[in-house]
Amino acid sequence: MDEILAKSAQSSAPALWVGAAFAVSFGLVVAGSLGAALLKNLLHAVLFLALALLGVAGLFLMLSSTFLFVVQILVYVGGVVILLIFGVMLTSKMAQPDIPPRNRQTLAAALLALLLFCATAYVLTTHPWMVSAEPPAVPVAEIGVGLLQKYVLPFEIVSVVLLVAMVGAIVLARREPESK
Amino acid sequence: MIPLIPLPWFLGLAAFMFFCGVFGALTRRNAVGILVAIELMLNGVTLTLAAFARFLPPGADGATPLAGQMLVVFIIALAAAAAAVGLAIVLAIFRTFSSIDSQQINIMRW
Repeated sequence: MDEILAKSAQSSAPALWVGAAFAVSFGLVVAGSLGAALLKNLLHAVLFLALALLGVAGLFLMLSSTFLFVVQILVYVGGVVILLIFGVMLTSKMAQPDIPPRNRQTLAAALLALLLFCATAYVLTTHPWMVSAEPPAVPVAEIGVGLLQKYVLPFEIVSVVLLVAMVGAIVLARREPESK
Repeated sequence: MIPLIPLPWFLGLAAFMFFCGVFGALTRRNAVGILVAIELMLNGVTLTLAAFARFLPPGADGATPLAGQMLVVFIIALAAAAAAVGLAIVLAIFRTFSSIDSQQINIMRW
């Protein structure tokens, strides 16, 4: 009896924690997505996007992909969000109140997005997925080895793409010489 | 260890995120707002891939959990590159038109 009680206490406490963590991440993602898509003030929208990205990072942790968790925090919350905030601030003339933040197809777009969401969610949640009973967790070391052995060609291609994107971004954003 | 949160929760949440992004990308007039919405869509897709990599059994066609995580890593890298280039384009447009209202930028329309 004591053993069973101890076992149930052991197994239910982590369950509770995982449930609570999932609820927090879920709420972060829902609130962040809605805010990023709907808010009028673009700076607030970017901050809500950061919330949603943090929520996705938490979900990665719950999917026991710790490497993706770290990458998500580093690249998105640390990089892309900062970049977008720079973008908002450098182009802040747009924040005039007389320009409406949305175009005329708002109603049609809302209907379309809602309809497609319902269809997609229905298919995704009712499809009988063959879930494996014991999902494997990938250790970070295996990801490192995979990056440099099995997936070395895509890895190199992505690095070249990143280099080209970096140079291209500098060229595009550079001020034109004023000698003309 | 049996996963406590079932797979459809992750998939439904990812779909919600993706279609929030679709709505934002279709309706925003500010070009930076469109970039924000695109990031939202990309993250919904990466969430779906990570969930599949965790839950689905390894397939015979090389579909391992490692492959799923690799796909997510590459998508994140490409999304970062896309964000950088997109923002540079937005800044160039802003310098040319001194506006990033996507309704006014119609020089490519014929």
